[in-house]
Amino acid sequence: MKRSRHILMSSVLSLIASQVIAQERPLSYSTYGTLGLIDMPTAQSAPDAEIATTLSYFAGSTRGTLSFQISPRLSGSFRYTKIDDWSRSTGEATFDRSFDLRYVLANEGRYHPAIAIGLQDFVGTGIYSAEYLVATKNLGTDLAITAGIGWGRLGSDRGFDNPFVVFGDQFETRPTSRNKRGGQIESARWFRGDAALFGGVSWAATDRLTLKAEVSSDDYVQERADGRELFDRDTPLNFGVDFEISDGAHLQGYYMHGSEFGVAATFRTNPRFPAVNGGAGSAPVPIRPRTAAASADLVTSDRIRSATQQQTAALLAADGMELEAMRVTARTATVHIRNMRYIGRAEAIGRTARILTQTLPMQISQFTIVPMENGIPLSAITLRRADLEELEFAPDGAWQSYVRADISDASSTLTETVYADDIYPRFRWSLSPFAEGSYFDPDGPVRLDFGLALQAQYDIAPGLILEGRVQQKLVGNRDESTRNDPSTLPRVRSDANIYARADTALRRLTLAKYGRPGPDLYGRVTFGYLETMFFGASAELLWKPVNSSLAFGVEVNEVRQREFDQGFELQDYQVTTGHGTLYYQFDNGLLAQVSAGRYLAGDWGSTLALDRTFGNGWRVGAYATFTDVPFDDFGEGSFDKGLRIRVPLQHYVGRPSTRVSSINIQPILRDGGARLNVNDRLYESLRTYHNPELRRGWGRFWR
Amino acid sequence: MKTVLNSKIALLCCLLLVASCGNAPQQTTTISQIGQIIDQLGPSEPGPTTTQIRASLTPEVMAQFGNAALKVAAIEKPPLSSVLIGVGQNGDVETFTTPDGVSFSFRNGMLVATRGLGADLMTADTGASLRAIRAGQGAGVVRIHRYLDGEDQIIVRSFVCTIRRDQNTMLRESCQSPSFAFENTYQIGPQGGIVGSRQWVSPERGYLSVEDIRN
Repeated sequence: MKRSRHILMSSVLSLIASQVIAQERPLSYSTYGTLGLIDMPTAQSAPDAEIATTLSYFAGSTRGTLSFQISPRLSGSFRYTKIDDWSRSTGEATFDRSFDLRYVLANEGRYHPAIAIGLQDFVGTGIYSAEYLVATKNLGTDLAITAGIGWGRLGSDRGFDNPFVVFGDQFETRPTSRNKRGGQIESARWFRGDAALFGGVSWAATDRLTLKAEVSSDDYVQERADGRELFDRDTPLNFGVDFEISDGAHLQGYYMHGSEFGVAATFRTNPRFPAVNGGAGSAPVPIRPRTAAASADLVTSDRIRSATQQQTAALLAADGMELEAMRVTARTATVHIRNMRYIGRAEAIGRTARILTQTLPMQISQFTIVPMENGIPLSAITLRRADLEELEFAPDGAWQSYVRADISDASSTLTETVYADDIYPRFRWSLSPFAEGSYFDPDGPVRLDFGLALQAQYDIAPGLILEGRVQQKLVGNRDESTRNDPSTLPRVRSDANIYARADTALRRLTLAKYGRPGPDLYGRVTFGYLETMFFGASAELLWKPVNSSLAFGVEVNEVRQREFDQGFELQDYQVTTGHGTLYYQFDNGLLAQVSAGRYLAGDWGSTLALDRTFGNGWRVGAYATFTDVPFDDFGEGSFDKGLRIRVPLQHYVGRPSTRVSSINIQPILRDGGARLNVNDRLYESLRTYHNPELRRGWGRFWR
Repeated sequence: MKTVLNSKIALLCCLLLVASCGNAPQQTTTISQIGQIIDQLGPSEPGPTTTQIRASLTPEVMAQFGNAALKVAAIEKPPLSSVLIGVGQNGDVETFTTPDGVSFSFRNGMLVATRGLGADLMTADTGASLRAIRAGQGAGVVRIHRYLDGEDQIIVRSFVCTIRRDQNTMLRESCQSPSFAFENTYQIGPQGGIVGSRQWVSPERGYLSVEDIRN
């Protein structure tokens, strides 16, 4: 009997194991940093939200690529490339930025392959420009076969007449790029000119080892042109081996075109899979249910009220939160908290609620919890004590507690509250190491400074904050940049390298006032040294109802350019800049922002930004700004654009922490479409304390 | 020049290692903290066994816990053991915590929640299982567990269980779902309540073994 059960168990387990393997088909990244064979793309998709960084080298071409699986079918890549010996006169290398998109038209079925369409280097200078249609079919669990047709670069070897000529003669020849500065979408070239076939196989020899072979349709025409001759292309055949040295870290080696060896390293991570699901942060304080007997304690006594407040503050502090203010009436309590530990905002609310059941007298039957930032109340979450007692261990307690909670505007919650003793005024400071980088300068693609940053904040009164930051560089090479790209616009950003030469720099010194001018309204006025390059005044007003996905904000700034040494002195350039911004937070985490207004160089235009936000603090997004500055005047890149990634520390350490690293990739820093960098813009401080984000993360309420 | 640079780098490394200072609330997780956390996540030195813990709970030690109910517990992955101290009761659910802040909640002896383990059991609907245990047998009994996924969404895993008596005081609950299978065992005390058990928590944590010391 026992034996048969073991056999059953082990067969169940082996079934599970084979399912897991079946899901994890071998996926390998190409030298271009997209899912693929060696140089050729495949129709595979990475797991949704996967982020992969690849660095590859082959015959004088070094490619650094960041790829993101934007949605289950859509992926995007940004690439920075160095190609040696590019200039025929000086032999200098060229540096090139490129963006790719790939969309899976059809997922793999039992009999038909996955089919994808791709655009390679569609907004760059066009060195890598290519389009393709590709199909990939898995045979069993280990073998994947790929075949495709490519245009542009991928149609350069053994090309034939474009089959798309049936749609019109314009497909016959590929127009030459008229875009020397890059940055323009040249859809008039897509799928034009000769086409060629490519294909290959990948075989997962073991769980960690994948072997790849391909027939390439890339003739490397430019790299092998007279005067460059980077390698001999003896054959279209390439061979590769991919070894996963540890989870998510791959090393690859190639033998390419019968003459050259290549190498690559890829690091994969996925915001959806943190080190520990739910985190390993300590357990919350349990609920103390009310008993019929104990109802004699009087709340009206000041002494008891003060003791209750101190007790609450102590328990909140143990959970990484601060009690800012509190108001207790005969039956209700309103508690204002600062959450300094939980990116999962619902967890902060849930922990506070449980603490209140421990500290508040029995006759208080309703709690209102108000998260605060910069001294202003962001939202009011009202919970019935009886619901908390009932739902602490209810199987569907998370959702039920959300349904029974009242989430409303908090603008009037501060009346008659008693502030905690040590909250205002208060002085806080910290000294910490910092690292700062400058990237994408052809003379030095990566430059870094390290040093110490002294930061201080004085909370004078609720919402009134004096704040500053001074940096002392200790070691680094950001001052080595001597570039001086000509600009027809006021030099509002293109002198960044001169600012970087300051060893001791006052980065910020501001006096800010935050407030709630009315229901659903939030306000900010900031004055002083706002950022590295500008001094002045900044005012912002934001409309955001607590339960609305839509928000609208207006910001106006009057600023003057700062001296390069980042002391107290100013230069002559002065400008009025500002924007109206429309925000929309979709239920699935997508956040769209559209801004229109006047930029730092006095140019008028608009910025479009799209971010995929994750409840656990991750965020991956892109933005682009188009202004009335003609592309030719803007210079290289044609318009301002960039990528941004926010990485929460808790993803890796498995403990709650609000610490987030921001990575901004702005391939070209120019003067057109530049915005002021003011600290603590309003929308970001309240977004996660409002719906739909609060609802999306409510699963952590009982965590 | 090169040595100057090297010494500067050395200084910098020192600075990074001492991490930051100040009176602002520390949001920085220092390297040593990360080390501790990794130790906790990964396989660590085997701590005291449940037998050792039970032996150390002399009447004097137990007196220090006041009147709190005590249990001894061991988790399977990673293999760690601890004493559990009763810290709360809400209706028929009792909550116990380890000295380092991991809590386990039991409804009539059946595990309904863990907190602080990581990959925690958020809730368990054990009502049908409990009725079958009290009856001494049952088939087609549904048990529902809830967990958080990596994006903090609640995921539901349901199991179908068979409950039968193994010996006079021992009951077995065998549960299956399309992806997982586990078997819980319960030791029934003289008063008819569960006094010891081995109960499945989550795929990442495996089983919790728990035994009453004093109620």
